[in-house]
Amino acid sequence: MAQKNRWTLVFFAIPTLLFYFYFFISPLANTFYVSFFDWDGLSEQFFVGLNNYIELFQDPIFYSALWNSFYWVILVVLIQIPIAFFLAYFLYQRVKGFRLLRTIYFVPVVTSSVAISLAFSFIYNAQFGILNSFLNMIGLGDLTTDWLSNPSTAVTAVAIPFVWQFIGLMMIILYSGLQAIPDDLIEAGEVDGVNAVQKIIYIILPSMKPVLSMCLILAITYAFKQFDYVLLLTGGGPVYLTEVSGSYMYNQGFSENNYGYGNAIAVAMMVIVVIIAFVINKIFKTDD
Amino acid sequence: MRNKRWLFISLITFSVVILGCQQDDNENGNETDEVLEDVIALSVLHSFTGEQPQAPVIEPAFEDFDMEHDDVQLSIETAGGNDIEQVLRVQMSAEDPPDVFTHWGMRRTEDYIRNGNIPDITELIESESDMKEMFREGSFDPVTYQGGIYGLPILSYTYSFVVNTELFEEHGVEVPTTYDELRDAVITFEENGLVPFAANNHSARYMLLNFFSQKKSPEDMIAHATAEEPFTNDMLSAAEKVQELASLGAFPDGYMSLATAQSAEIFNAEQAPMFYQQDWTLAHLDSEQMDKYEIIPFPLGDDDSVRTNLSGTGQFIFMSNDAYEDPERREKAWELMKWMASPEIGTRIIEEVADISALEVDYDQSEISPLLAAALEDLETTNNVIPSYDEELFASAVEGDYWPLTDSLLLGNITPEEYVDEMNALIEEHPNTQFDE
Repeated sequence: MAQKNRWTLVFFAIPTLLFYFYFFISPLANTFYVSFFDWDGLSEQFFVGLNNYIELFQDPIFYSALWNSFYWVILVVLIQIPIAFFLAYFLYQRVKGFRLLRTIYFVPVVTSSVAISLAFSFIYNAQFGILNSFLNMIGLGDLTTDWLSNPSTAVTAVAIPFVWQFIGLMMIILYSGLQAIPDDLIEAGEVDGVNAVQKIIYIILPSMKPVLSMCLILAITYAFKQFDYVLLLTGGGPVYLTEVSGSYMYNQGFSENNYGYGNAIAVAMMVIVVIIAFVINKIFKTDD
Repeated sequence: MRNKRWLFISLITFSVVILGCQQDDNENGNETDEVLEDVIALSVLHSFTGEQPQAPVIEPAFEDFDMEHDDVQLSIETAGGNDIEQVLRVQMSAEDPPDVFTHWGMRRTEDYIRNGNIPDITELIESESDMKEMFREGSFDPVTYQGGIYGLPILSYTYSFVVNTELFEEHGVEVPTTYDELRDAVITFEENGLVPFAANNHSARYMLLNFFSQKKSPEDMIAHATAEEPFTNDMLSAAEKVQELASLGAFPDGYMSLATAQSAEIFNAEQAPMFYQQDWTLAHLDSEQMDKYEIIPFPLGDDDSVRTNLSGTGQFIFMSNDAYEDPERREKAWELMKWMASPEIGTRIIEEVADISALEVDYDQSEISPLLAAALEDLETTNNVIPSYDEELFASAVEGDYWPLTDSLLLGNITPEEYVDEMNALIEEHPNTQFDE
């Protein structure tokens, strides 16, 4: 009987497994496989062994793009997640109209990155942009600059639309985490006389470790995968200044037609993200 | 019981009606199938859509062909501007190429030509009497690869130097004829709070190319692009000039990331008195202010320089090898290509969208924009007409490094000497091989 049940289970699992292997595992395997070839997407593939990886580790543009990706991650950790947490906490207080506010905060997440890029290109435009006009208007004309070309502002300027767009997503995740905290835990803290800051630091944040870890992993994965804002706002320029690993991978694959090299970048990015996710999981590991 | 009978009758009636409709459908279907058997389906990919200045002529031209040919059914896909590059690349890689498509010349089709995705259509061209004579001289050069011709020219290009004469007069500046005068003009305008050039990084690169070409013939340019001759002092001098202009503030803030159309807006807003761009951008200039605009020859670099115009053919129509190998599709695809590269469309391009056709066509002078007329006159009165490295002469693999390298020069990240060395190394690595037999 048990044997029969096992075969029934296998029978029902096969379609899902096939689907998973075909749509998830095989592209991954193909990416890994192609990374060992010199290929322009059109002609014959030439096996080059580890050459793409050797070239990658000697490529200064890749390191610069990688550093920019890490910089995006830093912005996510320092800006996106804290703002998202405070918005989530704000909603958690059940302020008047919190449902409407929740929707409004989430709108950028479902907005096309093309539309957001267009809006930010109008904001940043050195000649006609809202930001420079505003700075001039309030007497801070000295601060006006070419936000997308100035080496000291370009990377941040390109990252900000991304940071802004996903605040809503992080907020929703954190909000659900907040709702999962048992009320009696918070009440017990209040009975013990904790103030608002202590409540957040000693009760709420420790209770949300798994959710925070998920937010971090999601944010880091998104930051490493990003290429659309770079492509739409600066194209990676000037002179690769704003290139991130995702856009560099895209440019190598689709603009430079180095598919093999582009795949090697993808594999390297995947390894880096997996390592970071592993470290985050270790750090946030709870004992329960 | 009675209800059951009614239900039974209803079901029978419904089944009969459905069956009747199906038979009717099948009969119609057979007729349609017979008609469809005679219709050749062609897939088309082109980039002239949306805000592209040539879209008002080229987009309807494809649709007109579709309407006028009952035996052809076009399935038209568009990818505006540079987006077509990625779309075509994906379709070619997936072995699902469009039958007919528009694209740039060898600089962006070299891989497809080398891999046999685009066929040699020399025989088709030669089968048409006097076809080649219909086009401007040298129009086929960018699609001539190792002896074969791979596309039909549709659009030419020239780079025009437009000045706002009112702003020059207002600030007491003479229209520059030499580099020294240009530098003085830049300094004066900059001091007076104007952006001297409504430019982006492409304009700056074209300026470098013009200064360089002023001492070159087309043969010299080819010799450099094929790595037969290294770049030396002429390139160094041109690189020094544009770097100096950039350091003097000749270009607007943010010019590195400025779209070409945006740079035209700076000129339209009278924030800049000078504009140097490809002719297609002339359509973006404010028609209300045409009386202030004038096209002038590009300033000469030094006493040994000659007046030079960068001009050639930039856009072509191609057939995929897939279509070429099917005689029926080849015939119809060729018909479509000839239509798109016909004098009728060429005339409309000049008269209706103020761009330069690759064809030698008669057009009504009164119908064309005054700026385009001036650009054409400038082109016709220039002795030294040189094809652009950007558009034609560099191998496709060069572009990915040549643009950022020139940006580095403009930003002062590298010296003009380093620029020349890097350019030589780049060309050495990727020489143009289209002229090899």
